[in-house]
Amino acid sequence: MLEQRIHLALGSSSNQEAVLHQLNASLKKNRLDDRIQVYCHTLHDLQKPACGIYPERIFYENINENLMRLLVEVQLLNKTPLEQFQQLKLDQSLIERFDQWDKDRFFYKQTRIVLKNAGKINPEDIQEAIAMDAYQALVKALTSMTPQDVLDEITLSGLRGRGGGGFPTGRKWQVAHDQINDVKYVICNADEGDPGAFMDRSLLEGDPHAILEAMMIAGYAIGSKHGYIYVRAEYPVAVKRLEIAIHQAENIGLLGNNILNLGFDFSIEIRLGAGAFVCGEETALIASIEGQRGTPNPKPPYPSVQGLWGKPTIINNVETLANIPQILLKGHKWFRTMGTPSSPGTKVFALGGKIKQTGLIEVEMGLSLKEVIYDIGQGCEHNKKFKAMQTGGPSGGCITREDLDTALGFDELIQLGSMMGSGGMIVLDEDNCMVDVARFYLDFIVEESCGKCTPCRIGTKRLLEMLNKVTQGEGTLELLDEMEALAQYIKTSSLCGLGQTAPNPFLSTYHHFKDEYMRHVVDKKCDAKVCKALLEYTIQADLCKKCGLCARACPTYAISGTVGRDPFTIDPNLCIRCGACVLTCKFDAIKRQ
Amino acid sequence: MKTIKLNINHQEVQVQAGLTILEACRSQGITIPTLCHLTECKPKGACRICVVEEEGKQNLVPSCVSEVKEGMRILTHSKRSLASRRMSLELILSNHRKDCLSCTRNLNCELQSLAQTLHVREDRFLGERTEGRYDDLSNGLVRDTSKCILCGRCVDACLNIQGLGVLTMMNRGFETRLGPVLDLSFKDVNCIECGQCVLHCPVGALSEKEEIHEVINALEDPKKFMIVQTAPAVRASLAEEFGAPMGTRITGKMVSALKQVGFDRVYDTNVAADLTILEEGHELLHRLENKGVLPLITSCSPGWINFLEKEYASLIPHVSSCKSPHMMFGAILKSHFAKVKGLDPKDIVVVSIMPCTAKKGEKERMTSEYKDVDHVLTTRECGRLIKLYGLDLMSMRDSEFDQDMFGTSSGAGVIFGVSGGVMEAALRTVVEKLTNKPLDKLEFKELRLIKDVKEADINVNGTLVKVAAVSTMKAAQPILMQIQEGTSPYTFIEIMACPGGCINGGGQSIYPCNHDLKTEDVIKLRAKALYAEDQDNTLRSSHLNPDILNLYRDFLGEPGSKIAHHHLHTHYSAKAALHLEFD
Amino acid sequence: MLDVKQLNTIKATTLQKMRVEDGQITHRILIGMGTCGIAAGAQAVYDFLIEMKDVYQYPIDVLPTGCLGMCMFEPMVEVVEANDKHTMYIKMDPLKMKEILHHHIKEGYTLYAYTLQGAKDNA
Repeated sequence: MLEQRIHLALGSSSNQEAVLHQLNASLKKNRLDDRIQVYCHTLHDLQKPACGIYPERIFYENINENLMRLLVEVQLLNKTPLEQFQQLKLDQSLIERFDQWDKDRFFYKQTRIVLKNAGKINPEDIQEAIAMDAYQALVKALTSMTPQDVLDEITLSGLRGRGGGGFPTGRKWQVAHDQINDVKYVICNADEGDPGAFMDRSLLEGDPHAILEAMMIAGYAIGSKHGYIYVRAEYPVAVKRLEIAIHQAENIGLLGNNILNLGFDFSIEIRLGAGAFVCGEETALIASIEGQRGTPNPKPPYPSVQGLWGKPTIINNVETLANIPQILLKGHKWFRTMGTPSSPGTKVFALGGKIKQTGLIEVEMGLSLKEVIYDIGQGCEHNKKFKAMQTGGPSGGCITREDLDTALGFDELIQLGSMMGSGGMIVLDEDNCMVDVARFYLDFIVEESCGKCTPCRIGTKRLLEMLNKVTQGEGTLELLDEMEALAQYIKTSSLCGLGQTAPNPFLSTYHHFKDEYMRHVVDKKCDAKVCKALLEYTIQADLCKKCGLCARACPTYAISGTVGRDPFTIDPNLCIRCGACVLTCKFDAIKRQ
Repeated sequence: MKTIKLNINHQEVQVQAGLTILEACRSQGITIPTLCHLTECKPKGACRICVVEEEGKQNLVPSCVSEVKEGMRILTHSKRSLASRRMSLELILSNHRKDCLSCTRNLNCELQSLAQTLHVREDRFLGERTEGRYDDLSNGLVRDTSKCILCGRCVDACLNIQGLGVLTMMNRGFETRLGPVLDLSFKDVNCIECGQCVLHCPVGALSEKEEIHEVINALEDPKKFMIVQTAPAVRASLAEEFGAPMGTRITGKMVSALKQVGFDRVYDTNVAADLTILEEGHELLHRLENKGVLPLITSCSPGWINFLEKEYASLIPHVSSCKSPHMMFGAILKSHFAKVKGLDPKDIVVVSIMPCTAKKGEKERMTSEYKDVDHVLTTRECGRLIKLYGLDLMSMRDSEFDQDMFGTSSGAGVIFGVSGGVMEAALRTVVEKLTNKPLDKLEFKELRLIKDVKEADINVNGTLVKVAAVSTMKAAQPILMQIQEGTSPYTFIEIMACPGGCINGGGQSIYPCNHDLKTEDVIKLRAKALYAEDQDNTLRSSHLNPDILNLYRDFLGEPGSKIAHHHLHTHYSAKAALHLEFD
Repeated sequence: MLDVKQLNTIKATTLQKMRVEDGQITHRILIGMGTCGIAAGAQAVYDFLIEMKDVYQYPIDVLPTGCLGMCMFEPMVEVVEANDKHTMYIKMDPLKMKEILHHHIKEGYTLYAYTLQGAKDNA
């Protein structure tokens, strides 16, 4: 993955842009344009263009067009430094600039495959999507490939489900294809429910036609004429853009009967979710579309064999589908050049939490977590210490400092006791309490459990009650053992993936941060100062100016003392840990621990 | 029949292909406990009690939904499976109101049995309980969701067996609750109170509204003249309350027990069934001769009548105006019998032992100043009453019903308890009357099949008359729609609410319905008792019943007379299927 | 209805338009209108631009676009011109947009301080 790259810094005075043009022209001439990454930066007080070559870190300044040409032909093509022009005494601050730009390069130029059009086209105009090659893959499939050819291409690419399961897409499609039935269905799962995840939303809002095209290709591959997009109702903009896209596609003849005069029929309908996280589970989603209560059903039978209304159905995540057109156009070999052998391609992650650069990133699989946090994310905010990264949402677990060098991939993350999930990545620092993090996710699960099976309906509720006891200082060592046994039971006996992965946040934090649990249970302390019931507010007598302001602010009259004479004290039995006193004290005399 | 080989609990066995692990184990004599499983409905895999360990799988496998595969290795009672099973049950118990001692299902509760089988010895997982709802506003049914374990069997019964879908699950997760739409009472929705949901509930969340205490109070009152009548279907099921095999016929013992309980008269509802045949037969003949509204539909199933009034009120003209047998009996007892015996009707208390929960609502229909029937006890309540009086039914001698005025009943009367029986009984009288000659065969085999819809073509003086016997509203709806469209081929239709007729009524003895017994097995076993009683009777047809003929001679005059109409007939009216009250 | 040839024609002509090469417009302005952009206030920017375009008859395309993933810089506005020139303005509001219309669109000067590059370089 180490690529050759050149950072070009231009000043804002005229004719400097000509150097950039020369660079581009020379690269093209020497057929280096797809092997060298060019990054252009502006430093408006720079007199003459300068550049830095990475990863070698060779710098040149005072570049004109001729030198640029030479640089390309000698330095970049032959890897021979132009010693007479090389600047070893380049201004230190300029070198730092170049280093910073190189570190940032991931941020400016991620490997945007799936998100290639998002932010570049008007998603409400089908023509712009077409301009960016939309529907070309469909044409290729319909005119020069058999359904089995399409299936082979997807299978060989090694594409795995991006919604969380990581199941080989080609295999799922093949099973559906092999079923003998006149009616089959293609479903796009756009019920993105993980808290903090918005990858699918951005895709649907930015490039809806990629999804429509992918569904049509899928329909051709398995023998289906009907598609459903199940979108969560909490994404109104995505729904609107999808409706516009479908409408425009139908009007122009790219959906409906005899598409492109190639004898292929396909129609797509949108179905809205109604606020149930569990409907992201494929069998629950199917039940929801059928008009039934959105609860999962046991598998087997798998949807590819018996799905919507009993017919063979393939259900794919939005991001998985977004990969399909490009795999067909550029071939499975191209796809395999990215990522790792077991997890080829790219993945979109939603980076959030206590990190400087939050947002959506699309990177090749195999990137290390360290690079994601420090290179792309720029490290923790306010220079706090990194503690853990939570991946996979409420189904995932934590990855600690020791495992930061692990490459991003489906199997690798599962090995660490977590999972990739749909791509949510929350960074936690020293101010986060891991017990509270586990409690947060479990609370979400209890709220979203469908209630069908005993382990998830009652088991998670009881586990949450126990976890609450721990955060409130009522935990015991026996309780922790019981919690672990209960968590294992929920994992192995639940009906669907929601229940089976529900205990993961707890089990993962318990495994990696047992010391924090012990502190909560044995010492009744929360070092991150998050669990309110375990906090103790004390007034430091030597700093107390006996003004009495804190006592007046206290809502439970827990502070007592004499103004001007005796230092004030807080009665821990009455204190409700609201923190009002801390805010009032002008002398920072109140300590929270 | 394809067989496959697999390994269960370290034993190599061969079982039929296509079976689930649960069924395969059962065929080998291994019982895996279940809770949410219903033999006849699609398995849900929800309760997780039936989980087993499959080699090669990390998670435990629900045996009710997993199909056996060649070479599978299963452990049904391994430490892991047992631990998981027990934990599932403990969790269910932690959200269940455990007042077993005062519950109707004490000693007959699947949760109790399972707790004992799985060796639950402590009350772990104490925590929050889902908010419960108690509904006892309807006449026949009581719903108490604090005991509900959300197995969903009642939902299946009401939707897939009865075809109504009154019960549903509301909310989700821990807050899930089971009940009619909007959590309304049974009385405010399209519920017909057939009680099939009660039969399928493993615990005491659904039960009948009990009237035992009222009956005991009346028995203790010296002023009251206590009369009890027993429906035909009861004698085929009551013994099960005392541990006897399903379908054990204990008519004589039942009479002895009731006599010992202290009733002044123990009568057989079959007598009134004969009366009903004469009245309804007359009604049919009248309509046939005078081009009246046809087809004529029977009216002895109050569950069906509830359905008629709530959803098919336009068909009221088709339905016989005859009261059901026990109501007719009560009417006669409080008029003619009272007069003959010199009793004040308000001192007569008529108690009906019925296999039915809907009859508790039926008795509230009044056509005079006195209730025809004062109390209705289900077969189950009868069993409890007998036990309360310290009597062991199975060891009692046989006695005869009281012979005073209403002692004789025909075989036609007893088969009222089976679907098709009312039709058969009616045909025995009507066909003979129409053809003016006795029937060569009194049994109508087509009406004795175990099917939702049974048809028979009867040759009457050269014309083929089509009749049908239908059970469950699910099967009835297409037939009713046919009548609405005017395309019905039938002349006479019998409709029963419960599948197979009263022998499988909502008030009958509760059998564990998640094991091998299918509905058709139940019907077959219990119907056998009634058909046998019909066979053993010297009197086979209603119109030959001397007691009934005397009744007409002494009181009613003739079938369809004004007096008969006053006492023995009723009317129906459209009722709201959904009653919403906003305060 | 559409056939493959027509599809390719649309592709070619639209691509030209998007590269600001068909001579119809001078600038193509994309406003980030994903949910994140709208939440940050992009609708006001979009409405303002549409109004300005109508009132002053600028030969520009004002279009919504999706999310680029850099949520903290929203509302983002990208100005695309011929010869592959892209300028990404960040943290936009109608006031800043007005300045950009005047300086960049009318006069051709990039307002460096408002760009993504500018923010990063001068951080």
